[in-house]
Amino acid sequence: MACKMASAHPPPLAVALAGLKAAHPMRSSAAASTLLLSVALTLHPSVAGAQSPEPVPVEDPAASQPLPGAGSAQETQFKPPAAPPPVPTPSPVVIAGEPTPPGTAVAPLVWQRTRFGTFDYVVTVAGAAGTLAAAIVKPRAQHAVGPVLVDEEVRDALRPTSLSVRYKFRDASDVGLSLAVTWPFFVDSLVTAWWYRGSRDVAEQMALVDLEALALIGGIQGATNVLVSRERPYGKSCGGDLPSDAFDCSGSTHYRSFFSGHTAFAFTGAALVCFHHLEQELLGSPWDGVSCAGAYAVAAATGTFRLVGDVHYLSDVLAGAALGTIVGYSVPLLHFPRSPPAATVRRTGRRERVDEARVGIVPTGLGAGVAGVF
Amino acid sequence: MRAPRLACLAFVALVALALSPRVAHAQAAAPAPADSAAPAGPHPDFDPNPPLGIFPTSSDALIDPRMARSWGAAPTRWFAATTFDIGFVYGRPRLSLGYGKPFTKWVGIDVNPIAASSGVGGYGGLRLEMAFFDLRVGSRYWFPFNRAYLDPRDSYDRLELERDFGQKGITLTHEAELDVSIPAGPGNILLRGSASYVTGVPDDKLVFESALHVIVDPPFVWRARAGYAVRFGKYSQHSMGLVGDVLHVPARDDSITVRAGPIVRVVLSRRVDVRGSFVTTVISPDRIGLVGGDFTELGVRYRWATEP
Repeated sequence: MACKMASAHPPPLAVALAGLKAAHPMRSSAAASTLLLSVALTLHPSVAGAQSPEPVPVEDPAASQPLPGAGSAQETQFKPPAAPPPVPTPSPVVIAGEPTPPGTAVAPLVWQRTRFGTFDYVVTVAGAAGTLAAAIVKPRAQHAVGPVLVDEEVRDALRPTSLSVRYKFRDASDVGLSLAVTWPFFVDSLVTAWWYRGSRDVAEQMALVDLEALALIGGIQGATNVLVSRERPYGKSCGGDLPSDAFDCSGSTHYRSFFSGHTAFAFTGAALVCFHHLEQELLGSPWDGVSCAGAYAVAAATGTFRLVGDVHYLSDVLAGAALGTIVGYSVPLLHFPRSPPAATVRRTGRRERVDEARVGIVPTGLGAGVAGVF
Repeated sequence: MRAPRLACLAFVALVALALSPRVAHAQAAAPAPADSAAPAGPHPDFDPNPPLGIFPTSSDALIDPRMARSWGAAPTRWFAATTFDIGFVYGRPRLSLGYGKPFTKWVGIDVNPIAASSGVGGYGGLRLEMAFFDLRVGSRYWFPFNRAYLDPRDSYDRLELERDFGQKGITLTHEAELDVSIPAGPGNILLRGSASYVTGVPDDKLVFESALHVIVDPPFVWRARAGYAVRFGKYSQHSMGLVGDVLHVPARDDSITVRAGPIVRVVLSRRVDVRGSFVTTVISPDRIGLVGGDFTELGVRYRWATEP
């Protein structure tokens, strides 16, 4: 019902036109703004407040009751699998897993970018194949130089003398990696977009874009690893305080220093979290900003732990962070907006969203003219 | 760096599998967390005679915020069911064959292969699940990719687990485990007791037991867990709490390991829930870091079962 409501009562043209002026500047710079805001880990209160829907309290009895005749939001989303259901556009307005009553001042969650297509599948598979191949292929025999610039100084400053402590930081970096990689799928896509906001379509698109970005950074990182073949910082200790039969010293593991995969994956995950939260306004202010900042905090900690664990040099970590961030934002941004971004219109306290291009004839001083929102 | 990359790749593959239309759409009736997460009373939308079938219906969605369906609703019968856990980075599909109400009250057998970044293995055994307890008796085989048997020592550090001593630490563990969940106040008291009998280890060696996450001097390991989880959510379907573990290895100078940490479960429907746990070591004779903890971090569980 909520779905029908959203599509059956489009904003009047006059309202759309009124939003045209405000919508255009935002549209042309939305991607760049999102990127810059996210990288800086700042969420300007006025921007967040203007675009974020106010979550409806979970315990609100009015919000929790299914709409009359709705049969449930699921009926519009789930069909027998023999023929995958068409994507509901726009999706029902769902907050906290419940359809909201008519008149709720919240926009439905709608995927407004190019859908995951054949090219994206190719990129994802190629990235995954590259990742796998790089894991199998040994780094080239000619090893690149060791520390550069301030690498050695930073290592000396951060490296604990105790091997046991170094292992703890390495373990902690594994936890950071795990969180950073799983969060975009399990929490943002599955729990937040699908369950909390009720949009299976957005959840799927988000997850696929996340897959693409992670596969891509995996391929890039793996290939760089093999080609650069840089020795890890602890490599100097092999045969010393690290026995030569330690897994770290055997094989080719210790020639995979540049650039840090943990850091790259963690920053890719953080960028994806930020992008989705800030563009989709998944939770509303201030929680989208908190999610973004938290993701970057985890990523930054992961990179730092790799340094303290003596597994990477500073240059490895910085390169991983930079490339991870670039890939994490570039992949979703390259799914260009499919239709004009939402024109947020404020009228009598309600927020309405223009999701389609609209053209209409309007009276002018000398007759009629054509005006539209594109 | 190879391991994390492979781990990421494996994880991506698992997620891709989960996202594939066939998996995302095709389901049969199945599980809710031991239906301990079932709503206290019938939901207003609940249909007492639902059109149960192999595929989801409007009243049985993959993600169902209303929690309108429960595994306990279908009649007692013979059934086959699966539980599929994925996380970073592991995949653990389980097959259950039994009689009763799947994931709720049933008796039968459990079989599951185990695939993780550190090795592969499998488990098979008998299972009896009732309203407030869950009993498992079975055997688990484990083949580690790297970790080897260990020479006897009073204490081990992480490096002992990260060296190639030659003979891989393969184990066959026979185990009985009883889980109890008792409603109390706004949540449940969680109790677990288990007895493990580790075999396949040379006489003069110890081994890192992969499921218990503890270094064992065979054969016996006793384990006890206690905790409390508060329920929350519109239908009290979610839970969050703290648990503490105590493990005792008699043959290893009566060594005691204590672990504690948070657990959380967000139930998205009777089929799907997201789980997280971080039960890390507090007291131990060893210094093996987080590998000595019992945590899944973040994972997803998907359930399926045949319907009448």
